[in-house]
Amino acid sequence: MAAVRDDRSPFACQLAVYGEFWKREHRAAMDCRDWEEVIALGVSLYEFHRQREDHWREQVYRGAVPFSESDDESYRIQLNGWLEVADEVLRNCLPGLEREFGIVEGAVQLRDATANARIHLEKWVPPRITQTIGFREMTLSPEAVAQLDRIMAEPPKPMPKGPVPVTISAEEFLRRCPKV
Amino acid sequence: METLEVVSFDHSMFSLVAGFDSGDEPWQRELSTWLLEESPKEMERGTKVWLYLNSSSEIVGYGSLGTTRWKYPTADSKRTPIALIPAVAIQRRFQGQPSGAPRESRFSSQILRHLILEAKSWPGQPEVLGLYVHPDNHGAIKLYQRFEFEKFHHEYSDPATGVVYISYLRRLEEAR
Repeated sequence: MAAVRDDRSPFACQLAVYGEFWKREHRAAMDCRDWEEVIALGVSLYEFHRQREDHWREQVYRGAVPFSESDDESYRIQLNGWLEVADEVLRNCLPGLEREFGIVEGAVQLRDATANARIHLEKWVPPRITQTIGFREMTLSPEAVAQLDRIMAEPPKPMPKGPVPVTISAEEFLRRCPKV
Repeated sequence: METLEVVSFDHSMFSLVAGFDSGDEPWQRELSTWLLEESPKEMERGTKVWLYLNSSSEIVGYGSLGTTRWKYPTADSKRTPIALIPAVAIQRRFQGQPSGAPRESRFSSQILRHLILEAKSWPGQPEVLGLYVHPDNHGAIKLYQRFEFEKFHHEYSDPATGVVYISYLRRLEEAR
């Protein structure tokens, strides 16, 4: 996952552009529609970041990518970078725009994204590989593929007959309050 | 003949399984740990877990069912969903029970029968049910073979422990 640490990654480049925009002196004449475009970009960047992070977490979970502290830190730093910019927008820009123009499109989504990002960072849990062996990334050998082909083509075999457990509801179970 | 009852396990029941004990062997401890520590995360990802009760409403064991995805038929293929039994275990004091019962009525057989029936109606209607078993868990291996699971030419070596898990597959019958 070297790309995560690469400042030239698409996300890093987009975040830099986005961040620079906010840091510029705000021109009084700027029309609200320009701001709305940038707010939409900010929300999209957040979603993009979370998708990348989710993908990375899934890869680590499945054992397709080994967990590394540096990757973990990199994802946190990038999301934190996004949050700093978004916080600045919410604090210094959005209130003025809303006073001047009323409803600003995307403002609700940006506030939601900012709140979610903050909670996500506060409750950050590094991913780890699943302890359920069967959920890990598997590559089948040609021999295994041939066997699976055969199993799929065969008619299913009946299982031994016998009693089948009877379903009860969770409420019924909790009412009885069984002991282990 | 004692027929088990089954209940879908959820977060409200964790305190009731805190002392779950499937034995002292390494693979048995793994299975106890799975229920207590791993199942919450796996349930969030769609795995279903059941508890099985005897006629005194004691927890005999648990079983689980989920979906894994293999790149099949080639390594470049899209992943094919495979129904999977992530973990299944019986508490130490109920293993081999009920004593004197025919083996098809033993708790282990009842639990596996229930999981196979559930797999048939699992979302996506997978054609195959798979599982991985610790190579020293001979009792479980015999049970899987009796239920027509076929040893699959696909082992998994756990890099953390060095244990080479054996996989078994069973073609699922048509959903009734």
